[in-house]
Amino acid sequence: MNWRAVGVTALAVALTVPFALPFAYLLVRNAQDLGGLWGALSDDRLLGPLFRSLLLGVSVALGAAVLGTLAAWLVARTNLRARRAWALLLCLPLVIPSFVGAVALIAAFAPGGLVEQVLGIGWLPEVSGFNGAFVVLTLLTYPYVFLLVMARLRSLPPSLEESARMLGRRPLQVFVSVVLPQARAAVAAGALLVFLYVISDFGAVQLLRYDTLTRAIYSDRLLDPITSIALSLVLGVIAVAVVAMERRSSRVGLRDQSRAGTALEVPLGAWRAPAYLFLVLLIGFSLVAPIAVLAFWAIRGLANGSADSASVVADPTLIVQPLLSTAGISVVTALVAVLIVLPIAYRSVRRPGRLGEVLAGTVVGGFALPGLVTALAFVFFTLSTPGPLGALYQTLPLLVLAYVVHHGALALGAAQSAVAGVPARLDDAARIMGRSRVRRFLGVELPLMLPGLAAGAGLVLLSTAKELPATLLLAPPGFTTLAIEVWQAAELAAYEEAAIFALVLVAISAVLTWFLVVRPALRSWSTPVSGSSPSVADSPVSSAHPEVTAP
Amino acid sequence: METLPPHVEMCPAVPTRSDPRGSALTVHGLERVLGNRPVLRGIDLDVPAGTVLALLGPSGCGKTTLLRCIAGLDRPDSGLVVVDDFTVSGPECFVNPEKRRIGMVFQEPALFPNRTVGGNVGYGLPRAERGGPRVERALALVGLTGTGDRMPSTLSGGQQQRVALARALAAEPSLILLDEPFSALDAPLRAELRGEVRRLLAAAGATAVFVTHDQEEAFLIGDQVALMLEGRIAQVGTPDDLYERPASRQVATFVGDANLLPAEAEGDVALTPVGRVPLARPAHGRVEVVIRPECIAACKGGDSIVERIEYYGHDAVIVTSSRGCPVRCRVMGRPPFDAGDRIGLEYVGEPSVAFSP
Repeated sequence: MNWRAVGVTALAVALTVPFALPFAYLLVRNAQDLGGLWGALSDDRLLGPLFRSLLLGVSVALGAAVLGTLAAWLVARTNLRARRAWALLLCLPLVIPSFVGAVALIAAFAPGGLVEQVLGIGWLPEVSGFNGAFVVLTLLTYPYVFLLVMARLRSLPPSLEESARMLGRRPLQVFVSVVLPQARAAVAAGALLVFLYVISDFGAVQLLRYDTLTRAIYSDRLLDPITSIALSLVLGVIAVAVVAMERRSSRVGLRDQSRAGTALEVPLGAWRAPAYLFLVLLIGFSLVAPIAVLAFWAIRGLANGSADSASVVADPTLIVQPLLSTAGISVVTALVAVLIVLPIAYRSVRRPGRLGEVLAGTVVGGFALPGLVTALAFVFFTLSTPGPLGALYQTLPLLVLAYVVHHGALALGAAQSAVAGVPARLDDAARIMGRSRVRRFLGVELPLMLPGLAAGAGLVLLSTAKELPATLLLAPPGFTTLAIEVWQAAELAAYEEAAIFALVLVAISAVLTWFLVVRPALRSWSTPVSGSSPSVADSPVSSAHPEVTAP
Repeated sequence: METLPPHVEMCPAVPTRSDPRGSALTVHGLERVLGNRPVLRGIDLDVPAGTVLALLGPSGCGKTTLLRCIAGLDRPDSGLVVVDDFTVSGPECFVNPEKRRIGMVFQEPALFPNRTVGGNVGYGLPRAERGGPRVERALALVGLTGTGDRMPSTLSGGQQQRVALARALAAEPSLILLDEPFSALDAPLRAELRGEVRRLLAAAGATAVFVTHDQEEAFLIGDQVALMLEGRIAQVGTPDDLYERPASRQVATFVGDANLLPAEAEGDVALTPVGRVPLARPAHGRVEVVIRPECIAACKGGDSIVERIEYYGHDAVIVTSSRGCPVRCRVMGRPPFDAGDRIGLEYVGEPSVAFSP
């Protein structure tokens, strides 16, 4: 028996336990109180929010699928100019967390906001409820579909479409009869990711006052914890099922038939102008408008100052504290996450099999569970457990643990690729030269894995910096991040303050996204995709966008 | 990234010179620059209806670009493409590929994975005929009767390529373009399909342009062979035109094995290191004569020394030199000589061609 292998396995199993904790806790708590669960399930308190969650999820998924697929086709297959630049711009709404998008929408239509002041429209429509949530979430999530479809279109052999043209079909017919069926799996995977994002979303629906499951879970948590826990379980089951479906569907994807080359461009003719207009409007509403609204409030706030000396508007240096807190907690979380998932990644890649799949699946399950649910499970767990565990409530270690459980899968995907990228032969070679196991790992494997691990850590960093609900529920009193500041200011309708914090958060998120997501994706687009090279569509939850997080 | 030309609707038929044989395809003065590199430099071609033209050339010579220009998948910078007396590509007009009635078979089968074999073959037919006898006929033609309901992924590579051919033939196009259709297959299968495609194209009475970099393939499939070198057509002719009467030194060396021997020409005969060689075209003075290795006979005793024997099984090449010139001489089976033996060489072939050195 190889004791070292047993050791790695035991370590990997032990490190996986925390990822199963929130879901297991919800199961146990609900099982202990079946009456309460049944009462909550058979009640309007569940059915209404459940229906609204699903309605919003399906609507946004469909909207994002249409926008994302159309945009991807225009950029990948037509004779529009500057297509790389369009592709880049179309990804950028990813950097705006959903609650920031909601703040922008509300602030735009608020009295004294951009719409009233600049456009001079006196009559302000009601932006809350389903319509507001639908618009904000659709505009912010279509890039998930766009990226996946784009990657799929890039990997399609051009001869397929060329054959169809040669057989007498017009470009539009070719799109419908050849391209769309080939991209269907990518569209579906993107739509599922969007659906998961929407049902997990807390910030946007809370600010826009649309009563979905997450909002009910949040508002019931203090006065009616039994219902809150029951609803958490329902939401958790749906989310985990969606991720399971997504992982399965992405595995069924067709293998590439050949090298991909430069695809035939479809001349748009008279449709050129409408196509440009579509892209301009899409980017305008999803990216330019929110930032313009925030900038409008921020600049006006800074120019006018404030009577309240404790406001960031009066004293811009107040931005420093939450900025440092956000950076600090995100960096710590990223490092801890990589340390924890590395043994799991190592075990699951180097010794593929049932156990490895279960371990990796558990970590992804932690990711699938909405951030709000994960955080709430940790809240109830620590509050109901006496002793040292109970003392963890609202401490930084617990906050970091919750973050790691929720975002660990992002690091796991990257770590698995990193481990798989080191040929096992290399270790054999070092072994034949008489190096010890530890020295082989530190001297040979680790240096080769570092870039991949750093990318994984970066994704965790990015998601943690934008995280709202877990921070809201678990942060120690007095510990504020940028997300919390945006949130609190928005709830007080202090849009000047909210805008300043939001812009800083978006800027940080933009820089990280550029280096971690957009640049690698663009690089993989500029080189022909070969069958074996990992595409954007191979990452954690399967997919381009790992960083689907409850924002 | 190359951009395709703006959309231009089908232009009216431009009358072309009437050809008694009826040309299915005429290409005139075609030029194409990709990046800064001229890829096609004034291509002229003429393919009579019902014949197969093999377009032969080394990789990178522009043959695929030429094919794509004919298909309408790429737009030439200047020149004409005329298919069945319709100008499909010219200075004022560019017909989109879907309106050219040209069939095309690619290197890879490029079958639509979401459609059945029958669905693929019927794809180019009018809606009413997609499930009908034309699909079955096309499948029967390529020997795949009864596979119509299967999915392409369940077929072997060779079968998939046959389906691709059936798909191109089913629509009864004026012209079929084949772009190295066997290059992804292994050697025995390639040899089998070669013969079959030759028979199929003849049976369908199709006019075809077949692109390949393999000389054997070009000779077996083409009624005419066009050799393309560096963006130009170096020679068009029947396979034996190219082999026995090459138009240039480059053609002579690209097509088959050739000795280029210095000689003194005196009208229709040349004095070479292997003796007197009759010339097909009269020449005078110092020349180089193309002599195929199999046109030299070797006998025991003479003034050449065998350097080595390259033994291939069914034949062998004697590497020797005659009056200071290296000479290769091909014989059937194993020659009765060894390295170091003295042999005599004699020219035994048809009249050959000479180029000034």
